[in-house]
Amino acid sequence: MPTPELAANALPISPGGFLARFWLILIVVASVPVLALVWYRDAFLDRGYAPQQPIAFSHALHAGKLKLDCTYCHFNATKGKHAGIPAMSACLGCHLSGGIGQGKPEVAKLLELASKPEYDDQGIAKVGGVVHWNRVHKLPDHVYFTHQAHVAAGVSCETCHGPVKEMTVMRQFADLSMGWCLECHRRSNYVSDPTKDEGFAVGTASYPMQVGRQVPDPVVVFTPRKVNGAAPEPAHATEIHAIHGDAAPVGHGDAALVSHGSSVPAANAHEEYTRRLSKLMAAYPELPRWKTANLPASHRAYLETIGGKSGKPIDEVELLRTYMNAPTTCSTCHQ
Amino acid sequence: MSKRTQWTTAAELDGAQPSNDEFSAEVSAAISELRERHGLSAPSCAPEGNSPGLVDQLRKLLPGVSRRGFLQLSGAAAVFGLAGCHQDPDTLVPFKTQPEGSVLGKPRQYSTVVRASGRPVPAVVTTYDGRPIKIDGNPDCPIGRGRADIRTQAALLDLYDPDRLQNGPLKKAGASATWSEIDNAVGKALASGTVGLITGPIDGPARRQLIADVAAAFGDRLRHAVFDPSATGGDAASEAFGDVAPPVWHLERACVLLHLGGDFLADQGLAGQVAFGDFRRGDGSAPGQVIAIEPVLSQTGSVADLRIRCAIDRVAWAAWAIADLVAKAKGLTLPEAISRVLDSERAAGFDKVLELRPVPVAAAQGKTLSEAAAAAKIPAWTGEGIPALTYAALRLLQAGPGKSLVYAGGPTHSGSSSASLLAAVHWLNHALGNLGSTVTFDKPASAILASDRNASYVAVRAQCAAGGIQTLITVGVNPAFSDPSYAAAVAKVGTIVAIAERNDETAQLAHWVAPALHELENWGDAEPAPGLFAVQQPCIRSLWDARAAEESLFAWTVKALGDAAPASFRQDVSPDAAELTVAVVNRAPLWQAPRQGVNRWSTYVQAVWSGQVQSSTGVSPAPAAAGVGFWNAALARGVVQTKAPAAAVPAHSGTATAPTAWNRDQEVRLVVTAHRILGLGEGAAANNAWLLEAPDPVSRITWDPYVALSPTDAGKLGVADNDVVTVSIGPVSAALPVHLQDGQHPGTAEVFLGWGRTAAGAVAALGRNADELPAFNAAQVADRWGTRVQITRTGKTFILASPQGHDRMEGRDIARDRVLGAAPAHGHHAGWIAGVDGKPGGRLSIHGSSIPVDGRRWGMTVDLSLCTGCNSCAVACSAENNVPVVGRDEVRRGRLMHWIRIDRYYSGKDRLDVETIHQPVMCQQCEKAPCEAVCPANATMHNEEGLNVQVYNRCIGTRYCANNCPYKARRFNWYEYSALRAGPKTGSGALSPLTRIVGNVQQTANAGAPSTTSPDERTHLPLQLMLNPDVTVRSRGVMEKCNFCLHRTRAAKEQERAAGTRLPDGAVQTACSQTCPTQAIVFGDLNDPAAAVSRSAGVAGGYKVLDEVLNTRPSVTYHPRLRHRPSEPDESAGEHAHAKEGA
Repeated sequence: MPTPELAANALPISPGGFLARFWLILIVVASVPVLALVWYRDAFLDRGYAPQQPIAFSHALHAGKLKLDCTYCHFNATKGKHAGIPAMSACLGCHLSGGIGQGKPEVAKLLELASKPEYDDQGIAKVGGVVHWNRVHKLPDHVYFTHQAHVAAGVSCETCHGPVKEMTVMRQFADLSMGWCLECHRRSNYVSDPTKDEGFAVGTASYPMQVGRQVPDPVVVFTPRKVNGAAPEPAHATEIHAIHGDAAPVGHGDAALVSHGSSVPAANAHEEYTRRLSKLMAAYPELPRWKTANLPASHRAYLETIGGKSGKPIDEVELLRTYMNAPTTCSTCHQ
Repeated sequence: MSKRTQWTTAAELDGAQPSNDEFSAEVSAAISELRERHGLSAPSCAPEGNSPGLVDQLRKLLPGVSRRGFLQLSGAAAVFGLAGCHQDPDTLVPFKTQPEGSVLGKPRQYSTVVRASGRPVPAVVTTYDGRPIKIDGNPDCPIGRGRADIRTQAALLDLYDPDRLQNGPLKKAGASATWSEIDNAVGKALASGTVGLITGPIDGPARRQLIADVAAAFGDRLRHAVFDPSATGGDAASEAFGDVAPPVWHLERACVLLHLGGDFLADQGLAGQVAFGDFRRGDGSAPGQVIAIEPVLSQTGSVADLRIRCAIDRVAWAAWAIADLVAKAKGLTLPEAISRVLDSERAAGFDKVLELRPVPVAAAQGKTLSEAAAAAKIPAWTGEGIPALTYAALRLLQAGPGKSLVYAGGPTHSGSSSASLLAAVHWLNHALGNLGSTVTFDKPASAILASDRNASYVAVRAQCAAGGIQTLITVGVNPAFSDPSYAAAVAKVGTIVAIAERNDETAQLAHWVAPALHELENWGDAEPAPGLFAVQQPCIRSLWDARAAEESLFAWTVKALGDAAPASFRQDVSPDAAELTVAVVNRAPLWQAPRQGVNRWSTYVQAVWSGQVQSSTGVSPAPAAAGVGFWNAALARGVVQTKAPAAAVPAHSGTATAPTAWNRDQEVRLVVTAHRILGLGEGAAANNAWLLEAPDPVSRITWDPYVALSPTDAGKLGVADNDVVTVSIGPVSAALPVHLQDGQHPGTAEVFLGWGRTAAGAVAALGRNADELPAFNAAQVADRWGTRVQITRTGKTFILASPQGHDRMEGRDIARDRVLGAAPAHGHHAGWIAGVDGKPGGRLSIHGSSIPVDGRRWGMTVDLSLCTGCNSCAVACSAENNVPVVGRDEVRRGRLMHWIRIDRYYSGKDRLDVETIHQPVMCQQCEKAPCEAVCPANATMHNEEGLNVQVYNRCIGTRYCANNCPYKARRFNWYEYSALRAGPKTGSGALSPLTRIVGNVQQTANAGAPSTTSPDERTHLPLQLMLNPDVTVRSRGVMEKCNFCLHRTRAAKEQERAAGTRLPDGAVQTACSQTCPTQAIVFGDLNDPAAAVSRSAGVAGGYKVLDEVLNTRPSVTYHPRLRHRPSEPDESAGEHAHAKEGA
């Protein structure tokens, strides 16, 4: 039996009521684009994040031009969770007074920092002794990620970090979202196998209790990355190019990764591709066979395109596909 | 009650039916709080809809908006709120030079020594990026064998305690000073006059050498006193055996423990607890038997197989009565003084005189026992049951020479009223042939211990009072708290200098205070057992502006004596020798010994170790490790064993103090005991929130002191639980809440040491109204055994915060026990109907079919016979898993966050003679977990290793899982507990700035500013350093629970993958199984049939809680509590099936 109080809750629609409801609906409708924006930014906008660093360190110079191995500085990646920022002593190993790059303004900055004390006489922290780098990649606290296992499994650095060898300013290549992780774990050799202890067991997919939720998971849908849409090189990059005395590389950025984007002229695509491939085959005589299906859709489409255009027999294309499925994925081919 | 029953709280026993709603208390508290906040009146759960006031209020605020509209509006607000979130920029600061062998993100471990438990415990400290995050026992130490007690575990929190002295030396009245000021002033004072030096007990070769050097430097002018507030009454041992070292008890060598006083488990620290585990496991034939004769329910009493209640002043008589039986059986004579007083009582039969309850015995066993008694020359008995004293004597004799142990001791028995009891203990051990076996008097090679009842301290104090001491230095002791006459005595001393970690009661009386390092920041050494040496090394640089106490002594000696100071205290001044280093937290430049011409303490320790220690070892660990090699090897291993000659077995002098006549009045008498195993010690750990929130093993009370009274006295005194009474004993008088303790002898009141600190810090002072509950300092009660006490009602109440009864499992058959020898009789759920398993006879379950797990399947076994309820596991878990402290109010609401709790059950026929079960309960990792089925967000699920895991960032806080968990193992973050130091501020739930630990510390290093913003935030920064980076810090609104230390099993998997080999059994341990002093918890891979856990789980009698009822298939197997005593006449079935449903 409704009490008088409960009855009072059923508000009658008054003349003012319609107006009130109208603005309420307005708010809800207006919130949709805001929600979308928030979602979009959370999902994608961390990509391309390239903060200005206290020292304009160029990966393009060190890893690209000078061909320093990634693990020369980031040796921690093979041993532990974090790839780590190299210790100051690693920088000074080469750039110590009288060493390499004397007179360059950024090296001078480094040496000046190294000569300064970490603290002043009052113990107040100064930016001295070490470089306080701005962090580029950051995973949420609840993510358990270890570099060690990925490096040991043969995943190349570039798979996740992109064309670092071409990056004058370090920037975030992937969005590092959960969907992005799953994309790889679903499509690579390391897709979860519920019957095995080994391999990457990804979330619920490995657990028979949620049999209905095994791959493909309807909740997280694989979306091919639109690498062409990645953030452009930040504005301050030009300045840094100037410092290093080199011009901004042609075709710089993620676009270089996918050939049918821009950097390789379409006419020479196949020649260019086979040239790279033979170089690769010479360098790595024993590449393991990977599943073609593991390739991103864009690559499959591209292979079919060049196979068709060149009029080569299909088995050669198959061979190409086999080698395209190299363990180090993109970077091995697109180096 | 004539039938044996089991209960958890007195209310349950009294027939107060627990509500069917598990959360009824919690829910009604929340409702009343909400109503109060909205200005509504009487708390009521009646379905009355929205109150008119609230509706009116809403309508005014939001004209024309219905409830539904309001919710829509809230949704929109949430969207705008989200738009405000973004990732803050973050800086990465690399190493200057990465230490060799270190890997970022992988912890490093250092061996050191932790003295927080009052005695040195060799430990292994896990550090992350140079900050200690966990303390564990050193597996190479033969005493602890990798185990750690609760206080050693909790020492981590002391390190990061913001209430330590932060900003360098202090002058009188807390004014700040510089190091050169204090060094000049103290150096000048020390240059002439008599110097008093009060330290705690000294052990360790370098520490002892330092005292010897100081003494030599000052010569006659120095009076060194050792102050140990828990010094036991050693005079009884000297009366019996002459000049002997303090006894070392070896419970592990015994089969029978006769426990007569004190609390063995609490008094003997880690060594005693580890020994108890070995003792209880026994030599293969039978588990060790504990017979306790005691007035209060001590922790050792709670694990006793046979507990005999006895009035305080009659315990000594009972002891001598047993001695009399033993003497007769063995043909010995009692000391003359004893046999004279015993004669007068003997005729009546002691059991009757002392009013001891006979031990009920089933007929068959009674016959066997009387035959055994006749063989052992013990007089026959008549009547029902076997007289308790006769039984005790019989068991001691049956154990054989050197295989029993009679114990009394600890801080409870430091007064003169215990002399006769201690004498009886020594005589019994002598008569039973235990000397040299279970009791040894090995002399520590490097110790300076407190003399009898602190005689040397008392002498120095007297000299101070007489004006004979000009300068007094206290090092790491707090006599002003424990000794009521200290303050008056030192009033005449010209210069008082305190070397202390915090501005405690003693430091506040000093003219100069030199902040000392925490033990994890300092060098040192120790002698944990005679002949066993351990090195202490720092695991972190000083957090605050402090310096080693030893370097303070060096500096002052050098200032005072100049070139006459020992050469080992000095070095050439070299201003540039040391790089400027700063304190970790407040960045204060640290005092540098080499710049002042003072030797480093680390150099001193190394010199002593490379010299005298190395030569005394005969170079163990390895011959190659000589010189620096030896030092490095010792540092790495942490402990070295030297060849110490065993002390000769002393002869008994034949004299003993006779017991005093007992009182026949009905007065209440006081027992002051150590605060059980939790050991606030003598107050040193009073500011440690982990220890304060760990429930007492027996009463399960947290946070506050109380006076424990017998339930039978409640009516007489007119008090009930939580009533505040005034406890007056001589000059010490204060108000304390009452706890009616089951098992306590009528006419006994028990209070605990360690409470009553007035200057311990913010946590110790938190939330207790000093006007209502002034500090009761039990340490100042001189005679702690049987002093008459006055108890008067105040009419006030104070709700003691206790989780007992919170996580009720509805009285199902959960905690089982069984009398030794009785067959494990169980099976009242034998007939399961065909279930959904698809197999005939398969069990019924609401869940799907069984889940095959091929790789690892983690599991655990818990032996209830070994669990002592010490809560070391709970604190270890809190440290390992970043489990927050919630505070007193939240505990009262049933929101204690511990992932592992130790439930306590009493059983018996009345509330006076109870038997106890301690049952650790953690998440049972059910194969068919009820929680998983109800989570709408799939936040709790099974992983591939058979674990039921909780995904925090999926959790939306419905709490369905907690409601559906039959084990009540899930914990909900009602507030942002992780940001609080000790829970929300009283009442309102508002965050107190005092208790905030995770401040919003902005890193603005690039701008050249200091990297911490405000002094307030700097203050709270240290507690962040303690967090384990491998474990997510949970935020408000998230459910959490035990996950078998998932990060550890994960790390093991990584390690296996990297190395390509499988780790051996035992290499992966959870925090609880690793630290459990008695090894009650065994953890491992159930899929490995050779693993210890699989073997343990297969032992007959093991049971899985509620599995038979609910078919949850837990991964945890319990072994029932075995009671090593005769069966009672009505106990023919052996195992007690405490099924209370429908009872």
